[in-house]
Amino acid sequence: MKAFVETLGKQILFFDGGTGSVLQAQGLKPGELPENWNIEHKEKIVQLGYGYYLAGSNIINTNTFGAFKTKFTGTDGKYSTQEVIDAAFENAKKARQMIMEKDRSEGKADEPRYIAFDLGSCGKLLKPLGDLEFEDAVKLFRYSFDCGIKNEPDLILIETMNDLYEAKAAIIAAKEAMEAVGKNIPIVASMVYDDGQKTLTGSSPEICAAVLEGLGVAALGLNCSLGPEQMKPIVTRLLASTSLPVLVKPNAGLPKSVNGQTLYDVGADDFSDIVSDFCAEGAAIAGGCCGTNPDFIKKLVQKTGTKVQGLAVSPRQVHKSVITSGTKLVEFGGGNAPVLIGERINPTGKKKLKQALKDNDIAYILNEALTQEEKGAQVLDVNVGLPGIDECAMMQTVIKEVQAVTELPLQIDTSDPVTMEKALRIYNGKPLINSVNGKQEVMKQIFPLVKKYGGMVIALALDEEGIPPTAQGRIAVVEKLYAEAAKYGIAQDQIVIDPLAMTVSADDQAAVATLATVKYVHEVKGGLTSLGVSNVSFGLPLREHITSIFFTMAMQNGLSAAIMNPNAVEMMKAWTCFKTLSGLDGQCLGYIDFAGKYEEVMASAVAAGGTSSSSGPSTGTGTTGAATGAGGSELVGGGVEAVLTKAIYKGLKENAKSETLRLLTGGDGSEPMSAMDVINTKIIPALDAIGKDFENKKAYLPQLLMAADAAKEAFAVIKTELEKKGVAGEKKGPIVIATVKGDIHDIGKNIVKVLLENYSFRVIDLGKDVPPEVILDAVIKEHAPLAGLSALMTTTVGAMEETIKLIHKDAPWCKVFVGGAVLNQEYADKIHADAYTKDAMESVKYAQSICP
Amino acid sequence: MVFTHRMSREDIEPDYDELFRYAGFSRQKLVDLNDSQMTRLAREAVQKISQAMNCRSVYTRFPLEMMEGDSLCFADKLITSHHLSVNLKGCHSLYLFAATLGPEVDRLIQRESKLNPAGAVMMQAAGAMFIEKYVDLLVDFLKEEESREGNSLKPRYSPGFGDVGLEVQKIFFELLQCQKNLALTLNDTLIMSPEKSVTAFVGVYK
Repeated sequence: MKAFVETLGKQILFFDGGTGSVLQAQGLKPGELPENWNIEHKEKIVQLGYGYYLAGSNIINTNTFGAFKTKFTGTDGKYSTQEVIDAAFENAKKARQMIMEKDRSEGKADEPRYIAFDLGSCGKLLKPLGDLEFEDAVKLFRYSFDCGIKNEPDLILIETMNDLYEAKAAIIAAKEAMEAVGKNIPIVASMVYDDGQKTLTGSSPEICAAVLEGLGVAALGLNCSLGPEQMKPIVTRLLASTSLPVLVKPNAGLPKSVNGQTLYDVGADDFSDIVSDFCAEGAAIAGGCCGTNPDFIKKLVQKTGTKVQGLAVSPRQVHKSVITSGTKLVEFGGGNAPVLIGERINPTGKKKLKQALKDNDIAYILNEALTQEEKGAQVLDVNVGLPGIDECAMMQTVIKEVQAVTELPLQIDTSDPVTMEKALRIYNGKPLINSVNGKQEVMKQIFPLVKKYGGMVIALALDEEGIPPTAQGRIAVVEKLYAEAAKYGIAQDQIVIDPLAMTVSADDQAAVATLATVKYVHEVKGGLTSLGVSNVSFGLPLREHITSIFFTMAMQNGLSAAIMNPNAVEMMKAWTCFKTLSGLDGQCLGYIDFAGKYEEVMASAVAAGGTSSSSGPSTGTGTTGAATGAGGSELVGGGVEAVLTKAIYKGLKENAKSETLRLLTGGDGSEPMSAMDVINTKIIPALDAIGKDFENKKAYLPQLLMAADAAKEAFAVIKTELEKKGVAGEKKGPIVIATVKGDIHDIGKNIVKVLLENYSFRVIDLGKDVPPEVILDAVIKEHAPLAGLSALMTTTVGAMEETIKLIHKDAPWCKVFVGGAVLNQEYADKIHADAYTKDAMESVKYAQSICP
Repeated sequence: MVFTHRMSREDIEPDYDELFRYAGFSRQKLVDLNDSQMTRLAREAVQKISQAMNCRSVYTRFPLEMMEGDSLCFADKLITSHHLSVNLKGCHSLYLFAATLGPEVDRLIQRESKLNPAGAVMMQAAGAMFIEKYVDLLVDFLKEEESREGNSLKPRYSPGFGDVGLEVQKIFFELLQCQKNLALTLNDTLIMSPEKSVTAFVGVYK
């Protein structure tokens, strides 16, 4: 018998059909664990496998779909994971022995008869949607794979995956389990799609194919949930997005209740008709899932035999240069417009971002991410390297947080291989890796990571000798990079060459060399290129002019991507016009849309320039008028002075901003006000008024929060103005806040944070599900006078109590206030909290009493 | 046998009264709610949640045996609850269902809560409103199925209410295979992810 890798993708292989549904027909009770039958009904499991082999299956699964140590603990009368897995293999091997004896007696000794070690989902949803850490998921899978691999399966099947992120954890676990014992068993990964042609967590077939192929599986496919008919378009899409063999295992349709009997609505005849068509279309492995039985497989084998000569798999060559997030895909080259990679999350030369990184101000970073997305960036660069911060930890935090809010794929940007590996693991999708270069040592570090975790990689045209000054020199490095990558099995289409944009003010030939390299890679090598375009204009006045024309020239020479600032209008203009003039903008719609926005941007720039004109930009009178409408509170007088107070009370961000600026600069010819006066006579009264109305149920939470947001804008203006004068704003606190361990609800905590910040407190937000020790560490490190803890569920009040105890013991100077849906004064007293605050306003009052 | 039910988002009408109620606005205030800003925020929330939701559910039905001492027996499971016994009085069978709006909604709310807390509160409320609406429609569908057999349904009853603890969630997850069928999971603290999800019993009587 040939090994699985020798037959895979060459001849059509048949998998088995349903397990659970067949066992239920034999008496498996609802909720009973099928894996128990490996031990308690050995004979039935052997017969199940043998029955499938007999029907023509080349591969049967071990009955280990849910064999995780969370269920099979080996305690309290339960079997251990190792026990049920060993028994499953024993049964499968017995079935195989029986069929091979029969095969031999019939002269078919070469018939492939494989055993797949089967694992499904671990039953938990990964963070941020669920409560399972990525690395904990890897550990959970790893345990089961360690148990399974000992039994020497021919292949591993990771199937019925609803979440691509979990599939990634499973594949990494399988690879590492094999590495540990020096084995190399092919992995097949199969996802579940719904009728919307996506996984339930939102990944398209193309995204799944890119990520799974990147992770180095031997074959990929889909199973369960849908019947064969509904799978048709998804099979076609998968075949068009990967060169790997594709597996198809549909259900026998959907369960229906007919005359009081429940059955699946697709019979063996219809099933085998359609699934054999999949094989003719190019699927390499076919079988069945829920509701199918050996009869389905028998008919499938027969029909496929008549449709596909010699059961040969039709060869396909698919080359795709793609990166993805969990839900979005970006393709390089292949007739696509150059990809825009947003450069704003990189501290080099960015004072505010540096400060945010030092302050652990994740909100600032998330804002940068979303602004870039809104402005048209297609990929976001993430670089958090800064002296004095733990880059590795910060990179992981930022990747997790950013990928939770943006749909865009990320470019992971670090020169530290350890940080790179940690980031590649937890990234949800197939990333862009930034970067490798022609130095042997760096290639040795980075290429294995590209191979293990998948991803496209930016390759800089420099090596031990530095940056070659000429195009020729850089091209030599490019050739070396391609050749070395090939040794690791990394194809040229996964590499994006960065020919390096150098400063033209330092060397007037710099741009020429760069552009020539772009052209060569594009035209001669058919390769991809990316440039950090803005370097070119360093040291020159009106940099945007040079940068945007250089960008245009590079695009004309075949550039595939640029790392740039999507907020720079000139850059977006160059890109949009280039697309329009290159036939990449159907009916010029992209340009027309851009032109509309461009006029707006220009108009508001003019208005902002003329601050002395009237009450500020276009948002002026109309909305301010609206602000005087309702509002159940006594606001300070009428007239101009109250405009800011009302704007904040009503949550009008733009007005709050322009009014603050007007008051501070004396925009309309009146005396400028001091920052302290603006805060004390305008902003704080507005916050107090909305706070009071909130308490009296005259205003509601969304209104309170909008007011807080508007106040935030006003404070931002004041801060900028003070900084211009060289005055640093004084902050009170700091206050450490967190949702306690075990609790994933953080909306209440976020509201408290927003309000506290508005009242000039520095807030250190540790997030949700935070262990007691971590909270204590932060309190001690910052010598915080106050800590706020939130819990929504009764089950997590225990964790809250533990945290309070710890803080009172080891940081006795710190007061602890608590809040959240399950708490009240009585409960708070019971767990020895210093204060119970029933809502965000109360938290502010308490904080003010502690830190006046 | 576990059955699947799906509903397209267009078939679920938003209910703004309910939405404002979930957002903490009082009934009385609602009557004269003349705040265009809040209305706009609510509309945006409805539109975004509606786009993101993927309404699906699984359900199964078992014969029910009511026993002494408020004990209920179905599918080899035993639950003791006075409140549930009262709810299911006179029932011969029992539905268990799990319904969800899907993970996209959670993702949206998480994202919004970091950027625009006011919008997040409205989205929370919109999510709560939509899942309740969907579950009502699901129960209507079951009601119609059962009425053909001459059966009627009791009001739905979810774990976590009265004396039915959240521990009972484990029974739902075991019998309905929520993870596999809906990508719905139960955290260690017995809270469901995605959050905008409902499990409930529905009693069937002649």
